[in-house]
Amino acid sequence: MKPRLSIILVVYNMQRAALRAISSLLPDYQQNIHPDDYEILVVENGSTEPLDHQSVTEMGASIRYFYLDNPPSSPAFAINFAAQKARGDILCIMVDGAHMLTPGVLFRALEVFSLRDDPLVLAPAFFLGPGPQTETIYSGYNEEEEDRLLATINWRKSGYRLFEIGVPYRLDFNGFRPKYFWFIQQFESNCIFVKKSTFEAIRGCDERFDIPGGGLLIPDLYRRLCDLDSTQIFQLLGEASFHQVHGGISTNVPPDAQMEQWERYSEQYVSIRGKEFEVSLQPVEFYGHMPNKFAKKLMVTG
Amino acid sequence: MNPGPATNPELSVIVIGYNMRRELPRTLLSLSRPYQRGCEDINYEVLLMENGSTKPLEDSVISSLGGHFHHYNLESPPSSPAYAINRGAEIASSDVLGIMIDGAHILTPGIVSWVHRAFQIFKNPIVLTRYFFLGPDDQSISAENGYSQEREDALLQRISWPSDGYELFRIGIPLYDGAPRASWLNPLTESNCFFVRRETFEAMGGANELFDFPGGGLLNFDMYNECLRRKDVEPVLLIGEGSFHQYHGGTTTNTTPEDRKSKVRVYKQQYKQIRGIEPVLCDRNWSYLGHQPNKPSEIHMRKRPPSVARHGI
Repeated sequence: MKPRLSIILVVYNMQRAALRAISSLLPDYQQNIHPDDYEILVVENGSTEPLDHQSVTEMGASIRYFYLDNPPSSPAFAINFAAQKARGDILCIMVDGAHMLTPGVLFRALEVFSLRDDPLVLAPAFFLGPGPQTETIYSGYNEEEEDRLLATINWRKSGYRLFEIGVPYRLDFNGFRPKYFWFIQQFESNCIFVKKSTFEAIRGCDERFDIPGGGLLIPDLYRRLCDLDSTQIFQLLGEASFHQVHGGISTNVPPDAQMEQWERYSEQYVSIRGKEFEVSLQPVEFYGHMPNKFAKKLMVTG
Repeated sequence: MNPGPATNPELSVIVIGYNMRRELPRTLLSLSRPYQRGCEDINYEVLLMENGSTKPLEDSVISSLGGHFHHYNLESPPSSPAYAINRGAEIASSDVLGIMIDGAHILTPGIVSWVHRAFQIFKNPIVLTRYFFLGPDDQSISAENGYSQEREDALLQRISWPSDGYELFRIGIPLYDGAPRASWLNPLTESNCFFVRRETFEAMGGANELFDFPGGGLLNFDMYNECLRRKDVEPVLLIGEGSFHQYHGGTTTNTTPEDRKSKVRVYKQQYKQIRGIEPVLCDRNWSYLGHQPNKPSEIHMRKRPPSVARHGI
């Protein structure tokens, strides 16, 4: 049977993190969704230490695994490749396979597709750990500590407790950190839902974003999707993706280096688009819940 | 555009009015097409139930709004709006009932379409809109500082209402209800515009007519708390939409803070007599649906209380 949704998870040398990410997509963890409703496309982007093909596909009946041999270093090609393979009419694009989801992301996103003809649905991104991983990795936060934290909340039985051990992922533009979180207009996400036909209409990811990790590939993709007249943006409330520490391209580097990186990414954006990157100001709609006080706290204290 | 008489409407909004010739035209206009946006394909009707008004609204006002508006005058009804709500529910044609216990509330322009969406997502929701006061503060306070119907009219004129209904957020404040800050995520203890399935309304016995104080006492709270107590009902709060109370000398809203407190004490006693428990909001996991139509609708960015001077009144 043809699934309604195809999740594209791009992984690169992340054996530890990717298995948990996949596990957070499985139907025994995700609420109110039938296994037949979706498939998971795991795209190994030329990893030197890939996942074990067989053990990945044995995790669930709907998992398809693709190993890309010697691909471009940006995930743009991997996403476009998987989108072609996808059987669902709706895509969920997860550019960084180290993100775990809360348990209501999939069904809530699909509900939005029954409300609107052409929605873009986003779940905001969080870091696991006591602070932004760009900072905490210099004060001892590491994979072992993350494993320990995840064990304390028994995350697979109670996925919303991820909010207890994570913080929102947000850049401090000019040292400004917004006080309130849930209603902030996002400019990218590690979990974007879009109709496959809409993704194709803008010819998918722009493979000219060829910096390892993609640079502004996803902000660019998202911005172009927002700019379509047909699309309606929805941000989920009380649902999120949580980044596991793994030495990723832009997330796990020091703050100074991150700013330099952002400048390099921006320069590439300007060279491709001929203008500075700007956050879309298209109206945003919201749907979700507040699963616990830790999620709700982000509205009160930031 | 007048779509003609509603046949098989999907939503029926029951508005209770009592001697509100000044307020009702605005309330009803805010329920009309084309004020309500994005509802071209939604078939809905509005029932104005005059609860024994000595000065009911002229029929011409109703007929000018379109064929989906209906006007009923109840003669010598009980002074509580409970009976009028039940009577409206009997007359209403659709399976989803919207209840506005106080006809003095102006709505924002997305309520019909967002309620409709909520009923697409949820099987059996109660959809609530947040309660606001027009003017610079809770009206029991602002009235003491000179707020009046004339000032309210001037405020509405200043935002050129009804040209953009979301401008109401600019001239009103949310009911804080004891919360230190406003937030779209705070649960409500009172909503003057909520929607439930008829089945659910009937299963809880409709509006309980034992709440017999003029204005209903805690009837509004009781109706939706009874819904929340039913585990099959999913509470949904709209974000970025609201109902705005016009100043009209209402039973509890437009008195002094002291008078209001003593009235609420009596209402709570009656609630306890009828239900056998304290009036405590049922603790449920709320869902949220909506948008932030403009800057002033970002109510979490506000400080309480806003100064009277800011509004120039």
